[in-house]
Amino acid sequence: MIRAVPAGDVVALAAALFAVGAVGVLVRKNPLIMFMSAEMMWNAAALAFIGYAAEWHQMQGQLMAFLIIATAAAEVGIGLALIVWVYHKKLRLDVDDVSEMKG
Amino acid sequence: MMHFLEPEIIAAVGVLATLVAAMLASSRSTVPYWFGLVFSAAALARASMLHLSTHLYGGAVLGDSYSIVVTVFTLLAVMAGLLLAWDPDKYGAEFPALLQLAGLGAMVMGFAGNLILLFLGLELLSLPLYVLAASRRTPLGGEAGLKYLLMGAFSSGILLFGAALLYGGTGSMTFVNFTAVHVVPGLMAAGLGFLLVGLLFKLAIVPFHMWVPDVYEGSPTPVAAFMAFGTKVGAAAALLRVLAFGFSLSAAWWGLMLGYLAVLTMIAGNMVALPQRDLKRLLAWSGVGNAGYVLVGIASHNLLGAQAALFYLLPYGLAILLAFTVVRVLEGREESPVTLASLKGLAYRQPWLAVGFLVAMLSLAGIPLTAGFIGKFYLVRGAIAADQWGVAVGLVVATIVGLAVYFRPVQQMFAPGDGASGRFTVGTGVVLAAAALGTLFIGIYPEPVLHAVIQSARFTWLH
Amino acid sequence: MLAFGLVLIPWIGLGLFLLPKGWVKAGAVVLAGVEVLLFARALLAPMPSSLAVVNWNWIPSLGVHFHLSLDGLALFLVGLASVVTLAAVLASPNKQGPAYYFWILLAESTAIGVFTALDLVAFYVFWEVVLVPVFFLLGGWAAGPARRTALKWLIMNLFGSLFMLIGVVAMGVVHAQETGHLTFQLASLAHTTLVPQVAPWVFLSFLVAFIIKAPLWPLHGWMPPAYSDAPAPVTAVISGVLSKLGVFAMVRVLVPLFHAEMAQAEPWLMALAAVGLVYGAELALRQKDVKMVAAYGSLSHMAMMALGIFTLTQAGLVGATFYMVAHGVMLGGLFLLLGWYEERTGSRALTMLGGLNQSVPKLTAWFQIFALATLGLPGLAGFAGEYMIFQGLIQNNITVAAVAGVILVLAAWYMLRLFQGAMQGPRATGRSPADLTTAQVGLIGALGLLVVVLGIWPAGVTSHLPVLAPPATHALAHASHRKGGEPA
Repeated sequence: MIRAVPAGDVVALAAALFAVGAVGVLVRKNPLIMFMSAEMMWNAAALAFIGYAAEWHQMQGQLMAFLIIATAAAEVGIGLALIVWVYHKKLRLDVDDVSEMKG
Repeated sequence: MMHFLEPEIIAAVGVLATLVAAMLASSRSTVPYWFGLVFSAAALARASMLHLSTHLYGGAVLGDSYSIVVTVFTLLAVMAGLLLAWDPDKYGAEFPALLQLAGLGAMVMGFAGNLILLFLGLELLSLPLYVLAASRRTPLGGEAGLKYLLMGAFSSGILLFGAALLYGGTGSMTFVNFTAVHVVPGLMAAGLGFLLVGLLFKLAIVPFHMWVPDVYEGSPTPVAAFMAFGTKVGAAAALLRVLAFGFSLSAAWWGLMLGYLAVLTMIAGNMVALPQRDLKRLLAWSGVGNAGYVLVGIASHNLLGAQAALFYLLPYGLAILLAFTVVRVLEGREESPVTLASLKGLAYRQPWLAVGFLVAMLSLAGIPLTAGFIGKFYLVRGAIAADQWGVAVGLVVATIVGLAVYFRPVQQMFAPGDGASGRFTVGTGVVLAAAALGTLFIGIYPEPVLHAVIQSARFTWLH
Repeated sequence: MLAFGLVLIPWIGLGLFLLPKGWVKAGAVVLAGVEVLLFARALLAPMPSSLAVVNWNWIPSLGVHFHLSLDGLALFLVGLASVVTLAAVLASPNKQGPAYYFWILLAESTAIGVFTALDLVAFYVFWEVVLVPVFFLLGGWAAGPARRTALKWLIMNLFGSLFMLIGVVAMGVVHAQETGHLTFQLASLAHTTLVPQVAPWVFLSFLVAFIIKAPLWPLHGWMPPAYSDAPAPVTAVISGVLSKLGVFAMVRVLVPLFHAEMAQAEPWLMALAAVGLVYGAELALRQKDVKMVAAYGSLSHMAMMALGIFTLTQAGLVGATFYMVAHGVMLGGLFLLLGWYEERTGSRALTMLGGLNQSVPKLTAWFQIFALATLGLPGLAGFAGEYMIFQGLIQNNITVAAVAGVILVLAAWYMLRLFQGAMQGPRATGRSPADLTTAQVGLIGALGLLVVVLGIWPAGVTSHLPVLAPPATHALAHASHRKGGEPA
């Protein structure tokens, strides 16, 4: 079997994606973008799983990637519904605006 | 060989049956609630009959008395949540199914022996709770759901990446195989770190706790009660299992780190709880502080600590359920916020409610003859046996701060004045009585519960 | 079983909530009376008997035993608790509701638990639970800023006792590591030696908790508001019974478990107690409020007991234990009298009053007896205790003995000042208040009788006391060298 991409490179890309996602969640205020960034972290993890699965010649990592995708889909379903609902209530998307509670 | 999963199977069938019942029955019917309660009770009864230690699928599914204890605690939380929410008009027909589903997630976390199940359990616990947290049709509810969702997705992402690194370091998903590889290589250490951060988010450990007060305040009270108990049970159980099975050789390393976090969490949680006026927020912060207590047991990285952490979940859970029950009664159908001022004169208006609240506060403060004292005693013992004197002192300092937190509402109750009063329902009455009697019983005669918990924690340091 | 009965019966006070309004006080009196009878039964039984002991395996998983024993040390303190509680219940106004009596009874139960417990965890449980009834008594019935007073009591005391929890657990854990057997029985723990890095801290955790509860200078912050604002019967219980918990615990726990540490720290402990002695007496002299004079006087007396204990001699320990009992009866009676005094005059200010001996001769007479007993008049209860403590002090440290001697003079001074200011001299007010009722005279007379009996027959108590001094400290070696090893 010829391995085109070494696992280290895949994981490096995954780590970069993860970092971008994490920074996105921490820095951005728009819930939609924050949510997207979080999903990006998930996908980075899925990518890392696939890279390692290839490295170890194992199926479990790929299985995990599928599970991550499926779960992410469920999460997006709920998440988008929630965001849209809050958007309808407030007509603006800014987590600081949503904040009515203090402390 | 599947019969050790029977409680979980009953619970899973219960979820489906409740869903079907919710579809068939009218939206105002209590039938789904009854379904949820009966199936949860059946699962609880089955779980309490099991005594075994086995595993399936190469250690992916662990059926031992540890998972049974986690299942029992979770089912208690689910049943309490159902009883507190016994109002289909208000909470809707889907409520029981969602709550049971979340409970099932916590149970999966209890028997998970590998990263895949851990992740699935975590998401199964979280996804229904996002919906439930947002189920109050007010901006507050939307905010709670949104914050919980974003924080949940973020923390799950961190956990997943940590899991990926661990997988990369060992080529295995199963916890017990992690022991073979030393943590010291950067990859494993980073993986463990990320995994811990993900779980600590769920457990609400400082500094990963910021979502808690807003989510508790915005969620419907029964949901907050379940989150305070059930979610913590699931997260703590998984945390303990991962660390004990996978990383027992590097215990000194993570034990020290978690010890610091535990002290920080206990003290910060109780300190911030001190000035709170809204009772739900006060309980949320106290929940943060109590998560720190649980972490003390985990950080002790010995058998005593594991027993103590597992045991402490029950006194804490009963007390917090009791307190949320009082909130539920006082807030009434219109869910008006319950502040410390609404407690004024409660002891004279509704003495039984006041007695329940008093028991909850005494237990949370750790006064002897309530369950909370036994829990703290056990935790201190674990910390001292692990030679973590600083953690023990931190626990004591936090408890002293906690006293002021918990006795302030008590004094309000006995102060003259006109506060809120509310009507008992059968559900709230049952939860109040059961949790109060349970707290006192465990405080006066803890031996049966201790025995069960000690049996179930025995697994931990065998590997 | 007797010990358990003594602890359990006050809990029946929960039933007071079911009684019709007029019967509440009667019910409380019956329960408190049964306690006194149980004590009398224990007094008459030959000691030590199995009747007086319970030792149940309470929480086997944690090595905790429910071990209560009415031994010689505990017996008379239990008696003190039952007698003072009965007096306090009798002296309470009829209008009080069931909660008030229940909390007083609960305070009695937990105090008896502390006195009789021989298992460190059982001891600790009672030690902490005792805070709850007093918290509610102060919060619900004290005058002034009651909620602050109650919270101060609770938080100060728990501050001490929670650190003690670490000490308790550490003793058990270290013992388990040494012997492989987890237990908290005091008798077993006495043979445990802690490592030198830990020992002083564990010792300190116990000591601070005991000092706060007593209270001794400098950790007496909760005392002034609690003593002055609580209703007289509650003050009588707190000062008469509960304040003895701290010094009693020193005899029960510190001396057997930490005699080495105590001997090591002796100069410091002595200095601490001596300063407390002077400080309390000094402040008592300067108070303008009658209750505060007694409160600070009591602070000074507590320091006297602590001095006796810190000598680590048999005479000092026996003297301190006897003085606890005597002081409890005296202070209980004194605070009841001050309560009646306040009830009649509507004031507690020392300077505003005077000349009461003309209008209320009975109150004056009894007040005189209790004041004289408190200042240590020979023949009354205070003297015997102070005498024995002095004996221990002279054996141990002649300088401190000299200081204590001076303080005794001061004590006489502030008590006489209190008595003169309130009772004698020209009449300050035109009103002529009513004298004591027959019931009140009967009550205070019974306590007065006890004061006299204790004063002329201290051996009745001290002969029951076991050997209290630690076996092999330098203090005892020192003492027995001079005294020929003869216990006082």
